[in-house]
Amino acid sequence: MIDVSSFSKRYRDFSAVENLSFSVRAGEVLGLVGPNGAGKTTTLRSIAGIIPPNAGTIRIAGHDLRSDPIAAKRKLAFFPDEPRLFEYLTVRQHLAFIARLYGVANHEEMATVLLDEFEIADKIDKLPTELSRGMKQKLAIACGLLHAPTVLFFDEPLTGLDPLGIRRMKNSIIQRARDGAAIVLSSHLIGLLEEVCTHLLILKRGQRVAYGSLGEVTALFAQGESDLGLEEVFMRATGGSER
Amino acid sequence: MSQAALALFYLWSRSLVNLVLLRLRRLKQPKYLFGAVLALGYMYMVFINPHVMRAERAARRAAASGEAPAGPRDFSVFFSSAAALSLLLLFAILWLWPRKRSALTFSEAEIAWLFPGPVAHRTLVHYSLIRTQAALLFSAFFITLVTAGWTFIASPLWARFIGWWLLLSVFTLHVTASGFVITRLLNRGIAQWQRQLGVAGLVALLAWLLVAFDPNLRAPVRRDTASTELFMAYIQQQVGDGALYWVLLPLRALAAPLVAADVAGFLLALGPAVLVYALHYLWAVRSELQDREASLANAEKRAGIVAAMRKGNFNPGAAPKARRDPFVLSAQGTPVVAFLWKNLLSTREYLNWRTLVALALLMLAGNLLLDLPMVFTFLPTLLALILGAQTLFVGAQFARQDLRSDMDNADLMKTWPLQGWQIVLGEMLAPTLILTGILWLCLLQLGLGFNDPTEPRFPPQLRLAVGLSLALVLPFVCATQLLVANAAAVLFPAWMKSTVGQNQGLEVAGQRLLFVAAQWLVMMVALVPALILAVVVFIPASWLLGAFAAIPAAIVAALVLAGELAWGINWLGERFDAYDLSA
Repeated sequence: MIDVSSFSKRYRDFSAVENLSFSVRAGEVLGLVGPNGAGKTTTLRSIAGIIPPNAGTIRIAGHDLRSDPIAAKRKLAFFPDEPRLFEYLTVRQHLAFIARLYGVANHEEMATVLLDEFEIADKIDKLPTELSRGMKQKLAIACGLLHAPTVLFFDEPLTGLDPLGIRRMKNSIIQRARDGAAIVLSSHLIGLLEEVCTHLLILKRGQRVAYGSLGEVTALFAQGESDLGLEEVFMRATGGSER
Repeated sequence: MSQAALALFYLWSRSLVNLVLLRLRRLKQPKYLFGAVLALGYMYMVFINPHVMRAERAARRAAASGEAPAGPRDFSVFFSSAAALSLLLLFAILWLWPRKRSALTFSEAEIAWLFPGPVAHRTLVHYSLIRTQAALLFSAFFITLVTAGWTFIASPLWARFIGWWLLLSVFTLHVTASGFVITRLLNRGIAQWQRQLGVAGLVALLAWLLVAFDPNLRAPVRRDTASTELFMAYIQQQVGDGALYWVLLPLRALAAPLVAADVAGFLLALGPAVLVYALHYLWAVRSELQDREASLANAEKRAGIVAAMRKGNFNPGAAPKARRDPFVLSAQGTPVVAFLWKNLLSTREYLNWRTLVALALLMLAGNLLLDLPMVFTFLPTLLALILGAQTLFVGAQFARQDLRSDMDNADLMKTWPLQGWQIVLGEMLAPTLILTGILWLCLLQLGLGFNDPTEPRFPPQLRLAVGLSLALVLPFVCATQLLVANAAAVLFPAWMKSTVGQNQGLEVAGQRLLFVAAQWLVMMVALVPALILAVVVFIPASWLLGAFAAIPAAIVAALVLAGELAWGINWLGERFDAYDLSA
């Protein structure tokens, strides 16, 4: 579903990500993790089509993001850490707008299902300014899921959510993966990665430090120890510093 | 002075110094330096150069004739009366105008640190009122510069500067204090309309008393308006004597330093003016203190508004309201229309086709069916001319429901399955429609309003032909201007960002000037081929069609502009696709 090969991104003389390759198959949840400045956000935004890469190939659901961006983008949804909503559009109008962008024929049925799932059906005529942070997040996710994407990108998905919202968000991610989506999520929250992810990609200074299933990555740094927590794996993988 | 007051003075003075330093330091960036040079050049050419040239011309004339140059006529007395009368009218409007709850404005940081701190509320009020002085002094300086060429008042520039500062300060204090009083009235359950009714009643009563008991007051007769001098003499006679003299006395005293001819006159005028200032200041402080709790709550709200304005939301006071769809948006069809639909939702509710049709019908009825006196057709026509010219020249800078408003969401837009040209075209549609609608209405009124049977230069056929031709071309002219403005947002995002919101300064004004100039330069270049081809079509067609040859010429011009637009939108779309958000 997601195939990244030899991806590099440079900002003038600074190399943010270098020669990165990985893939995420249907049903997998890849956790993108690393210290500040490791290149997580650059990677996530590049594979979502926001930032043009300097080198490498990115394929989304079989479509090359460079040569066939429209087909690739039809299959993906990107969820930034802060929900991006249009101030003057109500919940219903947001969904109508997104439905037109993606040409979702049965969007009203889809919207009803999503609004019920995220428990915002009673807010249909509210503007974002009238919604709580959690509600806004739910609306942003409902908009992203409206066109039934098979590839999902989450950037710090738990930011600003209350405990109930956190629980629901985790369940939602797991459920989408079970339904066959390929998911990449970037987060500093090791606990979230431990609960939700099937695979892990650890970056440091733009380089791949570790990549594989949770078990494989843990084993790589366990040095014979059993029950090694992901936090300790992260510390060992990154050397406990940003440098 | 208390420790808290000293701390607040430190905060104010350091903030001011740092602001100035920041503005100076940012001149290292070419965009600000270029803007500053441009703004200074513009100010010199518009405000200073004409006076210098005029003085030189007068000196040359005097040298040639061998006589001493005639001194300008002095209208200082009239000017102070007119200023006092204007202030009185402004104050009346302030009280009659529908106004929201107001409060002292504090930043979020000030609320977080000063409100819970050991600072007396009275000190905070003084701080809030006094810190507006920097802006007032700058405004006074600017107005002094603009009005430096007013030779009809005899005062030196320094007296004018202090005089303008006093006028502006008292006006600002009156706005602030009246806002507090209106807030208090609202908090006590007195609605806007009740207050407006009460004030209107008081104004009417005062007017009646003046008319009934002041024999000096009289309506103007034909002779009074025969010349400017006679009209000024009439006004001076009305306000310079009798009851109106006493009503205007405090405000005339306030304006007196502005027109003082010398140091002695200025010092004499300063005392009463400062007294009016002091009374206003005390009124503002007392009004605020009387309803402190509501004021604090409002201050917090105002901080949010200020923050929103800094982000470029020009109407943050009014919370957005859910609006009905401008039209039914089906899920199928070109996604370009979705942007039009979305952006129309972000405009004012009254900007819709229903208003357009209603106004057009009103114009048709007013001009064709009703036999209205000349004044009722002349004024709307003059307004249409002014509004039309403004819309055409600077409309694209104000109608920003396009990429310029959405660039903060550029990352999200880049994940949508759309090509760049679709996003650019979609974003441009709403402002193009709005500007076109306004221009069409202005054209309609101009076409109908120039219906003077004694004026043979504008026969109906000519007006119809020119009107239809312009109506055909104007949408493409508007779209071309908007394309340039949107291109600036994509190609120079940092420049564009620095000119929105509350970012101020001479250099920012210069940048805005530059954008308008660039917009018109591109516009002119785009119009050249359209005009050439239009003329090529018009000349032979005019033998057959007369004035109506303008219509095929306009169609050709519109087609050329449409072609240029198509190329431009496609090009800008490619730039948007290639736009690296991380760079």
